[in-house]
Amino acid sequence: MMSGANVMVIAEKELLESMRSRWLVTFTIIFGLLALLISFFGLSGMGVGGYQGFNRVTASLLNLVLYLLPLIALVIGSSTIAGEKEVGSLHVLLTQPVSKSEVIIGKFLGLALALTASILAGFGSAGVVIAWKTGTINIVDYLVFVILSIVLTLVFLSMSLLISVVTTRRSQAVALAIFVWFFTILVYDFLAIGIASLQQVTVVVPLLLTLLLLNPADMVRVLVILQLGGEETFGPTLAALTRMMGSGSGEVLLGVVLFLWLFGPLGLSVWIFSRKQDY
Amino acid sequence: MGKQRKRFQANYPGLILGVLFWALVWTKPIQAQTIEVSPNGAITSINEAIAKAEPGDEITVQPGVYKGQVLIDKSVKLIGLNYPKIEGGNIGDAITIKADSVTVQGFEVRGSGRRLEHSDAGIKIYSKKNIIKDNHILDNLFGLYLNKASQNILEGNLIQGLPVQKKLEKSQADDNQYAGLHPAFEGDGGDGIHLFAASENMVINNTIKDTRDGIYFNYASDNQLIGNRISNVRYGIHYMYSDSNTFQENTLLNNVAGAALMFSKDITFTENIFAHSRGHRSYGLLFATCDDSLAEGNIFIDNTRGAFFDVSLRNEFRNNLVASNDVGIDLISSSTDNLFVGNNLIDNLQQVAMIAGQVGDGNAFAKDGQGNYWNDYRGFDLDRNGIGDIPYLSGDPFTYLMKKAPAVRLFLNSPAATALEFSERMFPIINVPKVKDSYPYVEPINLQLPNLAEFSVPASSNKVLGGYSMAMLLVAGLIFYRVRKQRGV
Repeated sequence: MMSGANVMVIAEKELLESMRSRWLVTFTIIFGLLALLISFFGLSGMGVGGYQGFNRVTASLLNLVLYLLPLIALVIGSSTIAGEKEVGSLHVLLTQPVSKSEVIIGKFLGLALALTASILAGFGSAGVVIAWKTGTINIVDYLVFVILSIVLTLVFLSMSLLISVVTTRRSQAVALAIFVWFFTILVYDFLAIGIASLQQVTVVVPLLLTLLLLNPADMVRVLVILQLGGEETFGPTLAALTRMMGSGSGEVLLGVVLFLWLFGPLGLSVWIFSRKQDY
Repeated sequence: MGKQRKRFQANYPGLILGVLFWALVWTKPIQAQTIEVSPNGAITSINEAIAKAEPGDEITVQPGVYKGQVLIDKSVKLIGLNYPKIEGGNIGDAITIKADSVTVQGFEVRGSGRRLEHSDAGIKIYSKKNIIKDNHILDNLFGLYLNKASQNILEGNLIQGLPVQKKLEKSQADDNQYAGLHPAFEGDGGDGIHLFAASENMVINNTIKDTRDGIYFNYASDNQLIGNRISNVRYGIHYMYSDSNTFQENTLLNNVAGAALMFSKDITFTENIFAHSRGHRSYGLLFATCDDSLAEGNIFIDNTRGAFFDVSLRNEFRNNLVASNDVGIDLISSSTDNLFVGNNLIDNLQQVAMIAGQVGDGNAFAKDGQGNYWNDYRGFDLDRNGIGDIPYLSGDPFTYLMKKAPAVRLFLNSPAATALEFSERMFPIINVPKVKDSYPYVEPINLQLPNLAEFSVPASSNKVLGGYSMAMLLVAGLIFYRVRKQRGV
């Protein structure tokens, strides 16, 4: 039913268009510059014989990733189908012998490739600066950080396609995307901090785990800190939780949930898009 | 005149040599003799040699295995050639020293008993002015045990305990969610060096690994500890009821606590390195009921807590580097009148933590117009005197919440936490208890510190990281290039 060749054609077209749109180019430049600046100035302030654990540089890079990557994935992804609906080009595309699922999958792949390239460019240049200035970052940690950043971006890209499918105009899609970003990145954590302030630890820990699993941005943040700083970073109160996440069953659980976050919204958008006729 | 004087000077050394020669000849009859012990010589047992020896004699021991306990009750020099083995046979102490001024040098000492209540040791000393030097003291319950023994010199020994590995992990095995403040791990081994009521000893350049505590001072005062290296133990240095000790240039790595100072006072420690004490109940330096002590020029790096103060009064903590710890200084408000000045606090996730949510009476972070350097200080220095014009205040609503509800820590470094921090700076309406440093430095203070060379990552990893980064750039470049080519077609 689904043809790989068709998917690839659409992916390449999407990749090409995203490069043309200047959105991605702007993003790549901004992300790369920020990553460079953080690693350059962050490292130059160190007087500690070059020793580095989980510190200011990695913490700032993490914050940059958490803010910027979901935002750009949401904005680029949500405007793709909704934008084409608005200008009518989607109609033209669908007169070709391609199925709707091929269109969605192809667009996802194309955008995923474009965003991955941008992220690799940003982290690559930051890595060069770190290697040149000190080189005292743990390489495995850095690679895990990069991979988790890409996963985070793809999860939000998947969500953004769902947004794009359910909306009809570009502006509507972008507005919804920004709302989703604001909610998952900021509001959600405020609510969760409120819940975490409940005193009964036995109740709080399973609750926190649920809260983490429900928000991919939180999951990625906690995984990055666990990788970079070790479980002690979260203190003894959360030992049960962090140790569970580090154990085999915990890793499987997190992997499965991230996988669901990655392909759940995508599958849902395929399903909705195939049933709707709003273009 | 001048010439004559010169000639006299030229003759002078010759004169001394002559006198020395005659002195040697004269003293020959009463000079110490040397007794040789070897597995297939005239004397095959060390105890036999000691029995034959007069005080002041030297006993040289050829390489080989010597079974059975050794008792030294005369002032002799026991010199091992190429590390002969003394095996205690797993009963009592391998070597017991009861005479003063004994030297034990160059042995491998093994196989003490295992009874903690008798404190079985590799070498047990009951006397004064002994020198224990360059020995390998392995697989004993206690390595060296000084029982009311004073003025001894313990130098350059390697002490390795029973292979109880991974004490840090063991200390957490019984962890529950309400983890206490102090490590629960007691251990079944003995200490590397244990000083019981022993004073004025010098402990220099020893290496201690895998014992219960590294060096344990129990009612032992006025000792000096220089240049020791202690790793993978419970407490690297442990003072109990031991006052007026000095402790400098030691390196303490991967311990549950680098040093634990308990019920002691007047302890001076300078230029030590406390690193990699990681675990839920781990500390670089633990002050528990320790008063009037001075910490100067030390490095605290990569510990769960850098320095921890519990019911400790009037201590001075100056010119130290506290970096890359989860909590730089953990100050319980039961500790009062401590002074923290001239320190560099850099890149700690939390610079100062106060569990009870208050600073504690009389604890000061500045004195005589000088404070500390805090890398998260965001003030300014308009008069260019190197001191910030507005006070440094530690903590923000998020760290405050972390104290109130430790589970909040899960949201460490989240955008919401950053937002809380930011909002508090813009609108300081929430009253959060804070540490205040009225004279913060704006640049890191230039400190005299021990060499950190062993902490820097080898240069090869530079190239590997550079290589990976280049590979990332290459992949990105390939994708972009492909698109450009397509556009051209």
